[in-house]
Amino acid sequence: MCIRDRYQRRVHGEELKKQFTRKKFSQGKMATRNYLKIGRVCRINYGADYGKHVVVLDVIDSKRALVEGPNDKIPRQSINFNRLTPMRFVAKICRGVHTGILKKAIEKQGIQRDIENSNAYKRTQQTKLRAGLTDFERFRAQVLRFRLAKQARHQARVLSRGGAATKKTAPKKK
Amino acid sequence: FFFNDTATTEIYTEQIVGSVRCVQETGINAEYMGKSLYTQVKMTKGYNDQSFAGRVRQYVVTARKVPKNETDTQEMYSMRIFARSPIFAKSQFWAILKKQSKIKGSAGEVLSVVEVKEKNSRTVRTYGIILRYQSRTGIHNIYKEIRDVSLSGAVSQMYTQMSGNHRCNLKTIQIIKTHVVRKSDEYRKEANKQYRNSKISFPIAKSRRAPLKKYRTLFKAYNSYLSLIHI
Repeated sequence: MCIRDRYQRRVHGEELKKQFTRKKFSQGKMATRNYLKIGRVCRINYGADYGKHVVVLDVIDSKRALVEGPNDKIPRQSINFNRLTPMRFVAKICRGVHTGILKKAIEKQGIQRDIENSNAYKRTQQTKLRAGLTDFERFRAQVLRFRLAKQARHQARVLSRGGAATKKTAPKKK
Repeated sequence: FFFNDTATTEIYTEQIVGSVRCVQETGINAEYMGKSLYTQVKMTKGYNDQSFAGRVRQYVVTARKVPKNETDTQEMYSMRIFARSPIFAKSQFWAILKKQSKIKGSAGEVLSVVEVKEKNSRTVRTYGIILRYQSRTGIHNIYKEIRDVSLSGAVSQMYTQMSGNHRCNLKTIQIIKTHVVRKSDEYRKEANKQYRNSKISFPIAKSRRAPLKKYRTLFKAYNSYLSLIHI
């Protein structure tokens, strides 16, 4: 192997390294975590209750929390931290409150509204919707998608030629 | 007429051997083949059988020596037992009673086995459990503080901890006393005190795994360290 080949290999190797380094760290974005605390709203990410939301009422030990999700009909139970994904909002409750008080607090503080506005919830709803589509509905969605893409390409071409973008309302995509 | 032919004997032996083999293959239910005895028993009893759950329950077993006749009265003995199912509770009851009195299980009758269910499993409590266990070198007393939602849950945890840390199983452990630790100065283990804080706040690791066991795959497209970052 000549020197040039070795050099090329090293460069290629370095390029590969750059590709596969932890981009999230190198971009300097701090990982914001939602800390687990009393009142924290969490999404269950494993098991039969997958996708449902609960409120942390108490911490049992280093691995489990006492939770309850009255809106999703989840009875008060101990659950492993591994099964919880903390969300951005916290319900203002005292440690280990009764179900009735918890329900009132959720209603008053608009927790359900916060949940429904969250991206995770919206995504699950969209996934459900997409899973329930018939073949014709999927075809219809495709037609609309292609139409939208065509318009977008057209706009891009106009802009690249120096023209002004025309405001055309896209047809409502399902 | 005396028929003595070696060929016939050989055929006869062959036939017997052949038939034994057939019995061996078809005699057992095909589902049980190749499975361990533990799994076979589990299959027979049903996977939902209480005794297979690692969880220990609390029972109150009442029994007495069988009275000799109608007028004979025998003293009743009642004991609180932690066991996996009523059958184990009765067995443990007699094992302990035999040491304390002259009554054997064969000479006695069990009057009732009642499971004691936790009155309130909606609050978290710290349970202090004093127990006596047999190690490989001697008998020791131990005190454990366990946080749980119910006493039977705490005791289940205790058994798991004891088997992990001290290599002792259910039979070598005797529970002397259980109580609820209420005041902060009653706590004997510092580690459990930290949970008494209502302003407790800590990050948890994001577990990036399939939402159900059946969606688990052996090979994954992402690096494992990225899955621990919670963003």
